[in-house]
Amino acid sequence: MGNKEMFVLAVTLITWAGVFVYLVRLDGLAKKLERELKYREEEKAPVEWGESRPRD
Amino acid sequence: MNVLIGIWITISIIAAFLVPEVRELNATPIAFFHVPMAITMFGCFFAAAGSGIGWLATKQEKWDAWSLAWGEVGFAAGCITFLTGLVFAGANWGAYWTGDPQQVGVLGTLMLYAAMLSLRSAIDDDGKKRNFWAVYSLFGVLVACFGGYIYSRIVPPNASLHPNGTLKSSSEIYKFVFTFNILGFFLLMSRITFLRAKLERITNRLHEMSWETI
Repeated sequence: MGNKEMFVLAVTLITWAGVFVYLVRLDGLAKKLERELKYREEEKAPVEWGESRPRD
Repeated sequence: MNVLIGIWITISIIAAFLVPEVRELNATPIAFFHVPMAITMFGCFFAAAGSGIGWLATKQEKWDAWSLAWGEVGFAAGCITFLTGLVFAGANWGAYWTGDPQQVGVLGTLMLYAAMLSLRSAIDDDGKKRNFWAVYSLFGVLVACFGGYIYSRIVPPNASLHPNGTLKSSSEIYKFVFTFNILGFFLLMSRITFLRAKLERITNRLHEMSWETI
């Protein structure tokens, strides 16, 4: 593999790694906020007598 | 889903380096990342404009979230297109920046979308912000078509070094890997868009709830 191809491979791998890390972090953040929203909505909703409210 | 995308793109990267060199291109593999990203960028900008029309027609918040997400992801795909385009130019023409109409056109498009996203974030009123963005995205896609496609084709012959029609004259294996790459990158960017739109909607909902409790 020549120098040019090595350079192309390096650029490609760095870009791909960056995008993949962003994808995984975005997924994690979306899940975390979804849990928070669910918790807040449950907190707002009226609780039946004797029913315990689930908490994370 | 993330694992599937991870495997798909990794196979794409390996496959791009196994395909035989195309005669008119030095460092052929960069074409497998540059062109699919450019196609993805156009797809995202069209989807942003389409979702913008959805918002203007229905005033449903989900359309605005989708339009913004497609716009942002299209901008990111455009940045990758531009970056890999510089590498492509360096490998094929001996200089990273040659003032090629396609380079200038894509740079202009990216500057416009950067301005559009900045303008959107500078407006406080949610309704105005969404209406403006929907109209911006309609104009943005027209500029993207001109900058990324039409401009390089209306300049005098030989003014653009950018190769066109490489795919038509290439082998079946090249076409297959190319299509595999395009689908993979579009899947990746669609997944990011889906997550970004979801995040925007949850954030808006949490914001509304914080106002309700005051």
